[in-house]
Amino acid sequence: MRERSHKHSYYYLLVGLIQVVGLLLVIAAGGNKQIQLTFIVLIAVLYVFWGVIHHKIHHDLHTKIVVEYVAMASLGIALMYLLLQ
Amino acid sequence: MKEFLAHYFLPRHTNRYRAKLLHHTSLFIFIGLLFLSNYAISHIQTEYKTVLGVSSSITAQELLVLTNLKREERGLPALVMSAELSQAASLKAADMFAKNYWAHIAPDGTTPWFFIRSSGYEYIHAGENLARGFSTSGDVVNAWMESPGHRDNMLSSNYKEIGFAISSGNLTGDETVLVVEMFGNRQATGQSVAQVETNSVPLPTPTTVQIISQIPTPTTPLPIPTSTPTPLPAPLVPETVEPTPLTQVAAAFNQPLINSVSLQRNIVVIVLVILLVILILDIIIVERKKLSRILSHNLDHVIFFATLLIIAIIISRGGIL
Repeated sequence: MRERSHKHSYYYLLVGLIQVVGLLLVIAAGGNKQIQLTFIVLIAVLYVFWGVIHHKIHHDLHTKIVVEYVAMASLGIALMYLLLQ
Repeated sequence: MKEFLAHYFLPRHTNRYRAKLLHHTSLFIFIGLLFLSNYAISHIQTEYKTVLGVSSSITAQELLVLTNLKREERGLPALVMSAELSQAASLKAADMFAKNYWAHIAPDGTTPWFFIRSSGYEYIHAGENLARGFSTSGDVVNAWMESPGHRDNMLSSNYKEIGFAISSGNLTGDETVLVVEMFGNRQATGQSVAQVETNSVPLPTPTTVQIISQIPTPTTPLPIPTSTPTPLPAPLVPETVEPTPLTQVAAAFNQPLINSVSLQRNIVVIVLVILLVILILDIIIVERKKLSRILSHNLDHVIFFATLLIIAIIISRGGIL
């Protein structure tokens, strides 16, 4: 577990960084819900993209994994859309 | 029941070692249900406004009392409600809804001072705080107090009077409750308008635009009586305050049975918390049992949904300007 965590630490650090930057951009766009939703979609797209790239690098990319990332990202966007409508 | 919950929430042999709620089919059903809820909420909001809509318990009286409490705690004299400033605030709120903007200065360049002068209030100092999307007066005042610029306005000894407008409507595509707070200090008799205009300074940049004083703030603060503090008047609204149609506040619009903003926020927060709990349980159980699955990284999803949860909490608090 520790070895695996270490192996992926840079990857998770970058995922975390993308999310934090996205979070700050959403806060900065306070009051403009369209821009906020755009940033949230951007966060979701980067999360899928980076997840797929990472699996590709480690040679364990399957269609099932791509579908899972897309489903999770779509769920996140649907939730935020409900909040921001 | 225990088996049922375990099947949906925990990785085990009955669900191929992945909580049923995290299966692709469940996730896509969730997405479908969310879009259906979205449609249903929009439809009910449009067709049955008395059932579901934007509601708030914000009142000008409460805002005044809470603002004066904050001032009293710091030994500052209480502000008195001004009918003219309330009218100016109402004119500003109406202008914001009509021109669909969320800013201190209108897209056509109209400043808050225009509304104050239009209401017949001749000032030497004036200021404006804005808030939207809050449900209670306490939340509005707390949000302003947490922001240095807005707090400066609320606690400024330059102001002696205050006015509010609380209106609901569609602002920048969002059904919301808008609160406009105007501060002022009347021009003393004999002080000419020209003198005030000569002393005026340009409006600050948008980042500090809430600090709105028409003349520079004195470097030394005005003396505050400490030995004989100004007593707070019992009824904080003087009799001279006559509400105009535009000034009237929360009571002026119908309060729906269910607040749509709270409903949407609660749905989103509950779903995100459930997802995070299931994903974290999945990480723990899979690691303990040393299970091997062809799946994406759960930690990715935890980071993603945790970010969305923070966003949901922050943006559903309401905004100030």
